[in-house]
Amino acid sequence: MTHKLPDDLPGRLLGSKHASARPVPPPPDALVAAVRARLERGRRLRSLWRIAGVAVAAGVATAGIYLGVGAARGEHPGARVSSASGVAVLTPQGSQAVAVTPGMPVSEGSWVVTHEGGAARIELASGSSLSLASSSQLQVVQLDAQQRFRLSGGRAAVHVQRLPASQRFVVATDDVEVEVRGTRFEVESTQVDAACDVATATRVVVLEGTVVVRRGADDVELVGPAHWPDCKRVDAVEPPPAAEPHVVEKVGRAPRRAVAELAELNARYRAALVAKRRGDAKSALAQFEDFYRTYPNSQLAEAARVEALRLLGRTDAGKAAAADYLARYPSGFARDEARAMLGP
Amino acid sequence: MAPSASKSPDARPSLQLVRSDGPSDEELLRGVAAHDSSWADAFVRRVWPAVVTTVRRLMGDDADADDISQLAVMEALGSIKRYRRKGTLDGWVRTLTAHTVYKALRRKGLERRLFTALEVAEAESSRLPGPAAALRVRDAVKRVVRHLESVDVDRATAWALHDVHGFGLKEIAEITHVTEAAAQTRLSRGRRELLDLLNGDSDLAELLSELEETPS
Repeated sequence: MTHKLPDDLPGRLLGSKHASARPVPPPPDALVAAVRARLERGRRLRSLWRIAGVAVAAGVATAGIYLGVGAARGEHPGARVSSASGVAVLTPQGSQAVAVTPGMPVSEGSWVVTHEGGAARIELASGSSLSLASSSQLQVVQLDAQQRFRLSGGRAAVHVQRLPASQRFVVATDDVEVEVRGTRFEVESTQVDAACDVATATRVVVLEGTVVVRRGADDVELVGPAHWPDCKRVDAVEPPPAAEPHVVEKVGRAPRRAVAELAELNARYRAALVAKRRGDAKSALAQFEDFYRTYPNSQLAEAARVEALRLLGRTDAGKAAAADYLARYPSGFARDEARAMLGP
Repeated sequence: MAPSASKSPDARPSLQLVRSDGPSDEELLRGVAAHDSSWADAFVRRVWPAVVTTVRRLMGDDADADDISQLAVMEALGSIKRYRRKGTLDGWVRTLTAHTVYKALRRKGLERRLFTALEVAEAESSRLPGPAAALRVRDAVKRVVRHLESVDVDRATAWALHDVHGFGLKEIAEITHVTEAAAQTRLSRGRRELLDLLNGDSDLAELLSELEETPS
């Protein structure tokens, strides 16, 4: 015989299997260091606001002097996190991992790792910056006259201020080194693709300025807008001759023409992202869907599809987009999200 | 002479107020609000246990649990000025941590992970007579969780936070970033949907009724 269950029975029956009194481990030292850095930053900011309250102009000048003297004395680290979102972790050399927060100093030897959906931006004392995309791993190798970084996975957008002749800025991946003087470029550590003319796991997109890509004995100079290597999978219309970017190969290889539309492709994707960030979901969705329809085979198509299905949420259209995503990218980076959208 | 270890039969355990060696919450909050970095260590040690136990309760041994715990401490630091002293500091930290967990999972559409750490409540398992009953109740819990997975995720979340984890409506509203009225609606509808599903599963309903009638 059955009868109606009391309302509170399921809740009384269930608990958390991890709620028992397991000992709580001590907090990581790096977390304490991060909290200390945040408090110090807050104190500095508060001091600056007080000065600004007395006289804005004098305050701004004082802040400039304060920061300048601090940097000259080496009190300020060579790099710090300027923004972060989602789950991103910083592991200082010889220390434990700590969640990344804005203002956190980044020292030589540190690893910055973003998880799925996370992002972090590192700003250097020189004014250059590296924006780490979702699911990426970057090590800060050196931060003196030579600024060296190692990207072991994922993608980083890099903006380098023009450097004096005595300084170098290098981003290395597993198989190439990318050296710049002053430019904006993106570097991605992904997988080797047979559709590309060079068997490399690295992709470089130069938005402006000049970049040298060094791979073994090959030394390729890219003058933006340009990209490397040349992958046939990139959907692009043949560029008009006038718009053809200037790509010079220094050693060993015949000159190659970069696909100028890649810059347009990046620009369109970025515009959709900007719309999303400013909260214009309708426009962002339309742009991501348009991008996916226009460039279904581009390297950004999967990301555009994922962004669209996130914006659609658990609607019928969202479920249809999730099903389409899983059919097309069964091992895609957002497969768990797509499956979750389709429900059990 | 050393005091005797034996106690008189009518000796009762008693609670004594013991002065803590550490700083009071008020001192700590004042120090942190003044951006005094010498309070960093005390702040982390004060909030860390509440953060870790809350993350464990909600996420179990999820791979992201450590990262989210640290993120929650930084969130607590950044939001400390919003702590109005209406409840305990621990309660405020627990709610804020639950919000951090919820936000991190929701961003990925994985809120249902909140249910994966659920199993037999400790109080329930300790009153069960013998291993056979314990096995039956464990099986019942698995089936309840399976049914819970087919309840609308927002309602199921409100229900789990309230009926299982013991958060109040106001806290659920803060955790899930909705109004208190919406939280109340989600909770009552979630509870109703789940009970309908459980009552519709006659074997399970019978088993649950039997367990309910098992004397403590």
